[in-house]
Amino acid sequence: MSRGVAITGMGIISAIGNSVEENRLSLLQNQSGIDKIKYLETVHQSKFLLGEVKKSTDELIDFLQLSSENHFTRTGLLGLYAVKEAIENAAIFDVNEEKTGLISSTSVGGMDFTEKYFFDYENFPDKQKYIISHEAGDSTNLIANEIGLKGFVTTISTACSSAANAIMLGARMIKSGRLDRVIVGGTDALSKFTLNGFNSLMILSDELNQPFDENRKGLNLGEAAAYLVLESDEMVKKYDKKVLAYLSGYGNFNDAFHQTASSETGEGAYLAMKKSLEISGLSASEIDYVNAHGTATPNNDASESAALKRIFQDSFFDFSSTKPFTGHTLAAAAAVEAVFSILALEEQKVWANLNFRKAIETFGLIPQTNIKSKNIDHVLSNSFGFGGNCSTLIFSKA
Amino acid sequence: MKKCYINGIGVISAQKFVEHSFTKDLKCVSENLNFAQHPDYKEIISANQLRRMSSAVKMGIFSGLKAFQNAKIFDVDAIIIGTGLGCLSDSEKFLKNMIDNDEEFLTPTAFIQSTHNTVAAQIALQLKSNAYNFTYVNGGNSFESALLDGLMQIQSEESSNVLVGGIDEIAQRTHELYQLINVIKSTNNSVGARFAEGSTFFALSSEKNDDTFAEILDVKIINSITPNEIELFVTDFLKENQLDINSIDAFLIGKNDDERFDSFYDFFLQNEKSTVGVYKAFSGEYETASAYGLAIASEILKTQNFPSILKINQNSGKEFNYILLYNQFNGINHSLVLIKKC
Repeated sequence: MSRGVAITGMGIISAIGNSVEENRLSLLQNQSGIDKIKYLETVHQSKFLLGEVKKSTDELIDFLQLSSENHFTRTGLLGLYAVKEAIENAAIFDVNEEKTGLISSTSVGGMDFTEKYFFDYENFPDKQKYIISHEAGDSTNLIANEIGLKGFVTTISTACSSAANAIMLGARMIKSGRLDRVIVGGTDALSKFTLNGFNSLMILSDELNQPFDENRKGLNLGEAAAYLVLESDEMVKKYDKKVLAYLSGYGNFNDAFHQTASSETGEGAYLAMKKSLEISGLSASEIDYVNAHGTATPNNDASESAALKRIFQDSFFDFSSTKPFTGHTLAAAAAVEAVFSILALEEQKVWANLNFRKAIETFGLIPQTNIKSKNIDHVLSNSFGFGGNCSTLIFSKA
Repeated sequence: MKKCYINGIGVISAQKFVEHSFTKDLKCVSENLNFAQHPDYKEIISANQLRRMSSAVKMGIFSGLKAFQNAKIFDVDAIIIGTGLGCLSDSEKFLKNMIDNDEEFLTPTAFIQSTHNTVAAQIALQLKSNAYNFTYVNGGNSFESALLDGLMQIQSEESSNVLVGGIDEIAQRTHELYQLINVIKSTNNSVGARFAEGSTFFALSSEKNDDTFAEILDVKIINSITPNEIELFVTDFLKENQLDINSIDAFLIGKNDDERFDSFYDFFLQNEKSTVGVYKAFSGEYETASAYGLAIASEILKTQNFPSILKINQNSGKEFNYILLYNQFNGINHSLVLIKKC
């Protein structure tokens, strides 16, 4: 039986670190990255907490040594930062040497710049280069140019499940033989647009988010970029690559219930988990850790709990949401959590669900609240989004 | 590997809405911004729903369901959409409110509808479909990304029936800004292209029927190539499909009225045998206009009639077995789509 698609590299920048190693350390030390707002300019500065990347946009441009003519917005910058680490980690030196692709995802695209100059561009000729950056695909295109990639490049936007779908498409491209290797993941910078959007929906907490807690008040937003490198078995053999883990299962379904709310029974989530198990050939009892979507909104956690109970029925399963570390990083979330899932396989640890106090009465599900060491062969990771988009990925030990 | 057929098409464009014969009575778009000619949406969507819907959502649901109905299918296994700019008017609406009200007193409706996956989500809701649901947002080859996914779904037998579409809508401020940077023409003599909006959907199936338009053989996208590299890009692609340039009876290319990008099309115009046609004079330019091009090409294969209004060279074939579509947008995000007569 095929073990799935090999993962040979990863890169990440999030509120808990500017590299895979920094993220690993923060997870091991239960160190959250959610804090008072430092970088985002908003009237809500004192009201909400955010999982910001601890680098200003100018610092990112300097670090990445981009020319002054560049028109990267923060979304693209975070993406390039993490893509570079992923390629280096996978020991890829010439991106065009084999059939290589880039599949990125984003929900805000260049909104972080659009919202600054939208009605003023006429007065700022030097900023007009950012008009074209509004388009979501532009960030991907700029990243591809910067790493010198000429090939299959595309972008996915399915709200908060985006990166899971980028990873899934990458696996299908490898399986179909259309690509030998592919960089997959997502990037989303914080913007006033998303902060105010989520605020208007009244699903932001003004405290630290508490996934799966009876008294959860909502989510904290975050920003991040994370990417994996997937390679065919032939590539792994040819270049004698170290395999970090395998992507062994995936599933994508639509909840078809409501534009922004999830169904009570978690139908889309249930179907996505079921399909990912089918593809991996695993039974639910073989899943050692569930990295839940767990945004800490009343609706998501109830719906996801219902779906988890349908999958695992009465048997015990270890699960946690890592949103209290990073905040909800929207289109990047599934890629961030893919990295965390692979780190869980490497460290043989279930990450802690911080800030949890009391189980949701209806379900009685208690997440793992402290780091737990155990034998972990398979991790299931959920990501759900507006528009009913539900995706599940399964990562298996190399 | 299963074959992939186009069994139904739904088109909303700057042309008058028609259910069939998309190439009849075509008129050149003449404005710098050309709005879609909307059908009577009430035929499919309730008046109550219509009031809340942006034109992207309306166009998407209507043309999606038309393609679905024309293919005479009752269920889909995948809904896959490409859009360059997504639900732009709702994004602008929320952004404007946020700026005007200094981030206070905002209502969520426009935000909820602003996400790029809104059209795919609304189609899923309309069809009550839990099926695979994807939205691609990669500029000028967003639609071809979706089409390739659909083709792979069918070929790998992950799906039997797939709905694939390309949608973009005009929104006031963004298109004004595109005029400011000369992507869109501001006056008749200025640089840029004539823009438009539209939605074109295809019902793809693993089974052929009497109404099948064409078979999709392959789709390829690339982020960046120079005009000099087009020839190699095309010949490699044809070789991968066991064909060569002489097998292609017609090329349908994405050339528009922005001459800055004409050199990308030179290779096609240099050929001495095949018919070369264009469609953006009728659809106008937008990120997913190439979906309209595929609708036209599919109809040509089905009817075996290449309307002279589309032709831009003197070559005229008698029989059309293979058509190759090529498109680019602002010099990037190139695509090739190869279709075959059934």
